Amino acid sequence: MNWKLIVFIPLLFSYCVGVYKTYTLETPAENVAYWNQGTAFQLQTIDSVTVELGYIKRMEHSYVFSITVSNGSEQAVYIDPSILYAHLYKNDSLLMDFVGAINPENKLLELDTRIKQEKARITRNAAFSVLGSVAGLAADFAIKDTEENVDKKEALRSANKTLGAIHAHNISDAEV
Amino acid sequence: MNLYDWVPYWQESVIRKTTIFPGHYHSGDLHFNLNYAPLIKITVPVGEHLFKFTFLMKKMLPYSY
Repeated sequence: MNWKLIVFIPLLFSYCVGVYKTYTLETPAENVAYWNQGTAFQLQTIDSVTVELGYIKRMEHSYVFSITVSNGSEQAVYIDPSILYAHLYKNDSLLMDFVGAINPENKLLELDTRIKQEKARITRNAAFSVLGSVAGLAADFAIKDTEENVDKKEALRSANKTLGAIHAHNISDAEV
Repeated sequence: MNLYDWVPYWQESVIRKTTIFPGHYHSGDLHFNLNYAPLIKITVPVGEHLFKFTFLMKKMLPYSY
């Protein structure tokens, strides 16, 4: 194969694999109320209650917005992120999808479950590691014990041989 | 951020159920899992009112900026 192809093909693949698209959200210019640290904020006021919303960034799988609710009215107001929602449109009239905001209470429960699973996994791995160490030590002791037994048996065998020889010698002396 | 860092983030930095008394304000992050759509309209119900905000979703390719 031509050496130019050997160089060119991996370069071509690395270029193609590296190209991926991502998505970002933009505020229509006519809706921008103000900018803060690179974020365009939209602002709406109804009955002295003001809501400011700006798109911050994409994080993991979600789009993150910054929201501020100011209550200039005479009554307390209530905000609940679990009832916030987004409509996704193909154009001004064609609705594609309907999505609720991520409920932080559900997210915290999910994180709690994941942390418990992670802790259980760490404890399980530690227990297996200890068991493994104990089994290893036991095996080492067993091997040493066997080696010592072999040595003892060998010593006993040689002692028996010596005793047998002495005994035989004594018998032969007595016969004489 | 690791798993343990997400808990204080979701407890403290994300907007949660809150009563806002007169003369006070409350702010925080808000998360949406969104698929691609050219036009996104977010509705924020506060008290008896609905506040609506419009965003445009743009595809970004590397090296396009």
